[in-house]
Amino acid sequence: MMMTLDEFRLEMASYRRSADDDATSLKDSQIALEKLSGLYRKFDAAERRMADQVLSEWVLSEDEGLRFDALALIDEFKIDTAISALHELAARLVLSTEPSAPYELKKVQRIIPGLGALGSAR
Amino acid sequence: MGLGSWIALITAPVQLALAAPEEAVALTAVAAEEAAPLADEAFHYTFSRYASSIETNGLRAGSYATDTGGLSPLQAQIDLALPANRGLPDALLRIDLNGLRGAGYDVPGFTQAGRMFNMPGGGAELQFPYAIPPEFISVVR
Repeated sequence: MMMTLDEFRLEMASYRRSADDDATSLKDSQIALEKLSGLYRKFDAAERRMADQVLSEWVLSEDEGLRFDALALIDEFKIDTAISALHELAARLVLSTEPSAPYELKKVQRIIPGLGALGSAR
Repeated sequence: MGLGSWIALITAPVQLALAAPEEAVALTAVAAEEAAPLADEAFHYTFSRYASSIETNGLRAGSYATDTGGLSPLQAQIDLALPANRGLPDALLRIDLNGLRGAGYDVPGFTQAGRMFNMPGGGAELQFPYAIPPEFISVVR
């Protein structure tokens, strides 16, 4: 039976927490991203639609680590449905005083044009 | 070493003599931190399969780095207590700590890597609580 979006959201968050725990215990933070990327690769079309929705939500999270993973996956898999979330994040980062904000903004501005016509048209 | 560091070194014994035992431990740590010169750069030992992603996205929060870039892959595994079952780290990245400080990041200090995964550790390590933007990372090998 197909999961609901709520169930899928919880599963993805739980998977990321587990990947993050593995990364911490193995002293290698990049493992988590490798695992998340591998998970997305296994999703079928319906699952990818839900994953894309969850990643768009992660982009707008207050948690910088969650945004980091979401941006990497959106860039790797060219998830164009995340465009409006990326624009919203960019607008927020412009106003942020966090040291990381200018660099994250630059990353978002690099990702958007790579997402196809929808990205470059806006 | 700057004037502040010399003053910290000279005054530390006096402060220690006057302090209660539990305060003395804290003062020793503070004096050592004040006296130690800040490192300009740190090095992250990793795997070549991650290098491209790191160059594009930066390093994830929680990444470790050490103060020396001259370790062989095997030395890195031993001194930094990295798990043996994942293979030897075949890539080395330089992290610009001065650049991070200049950009407003609070760079943590180095501590000694403890024994883990049957590896002795003993090398210097620091763990970044935030992601490192790719602008501050360069691939050494």
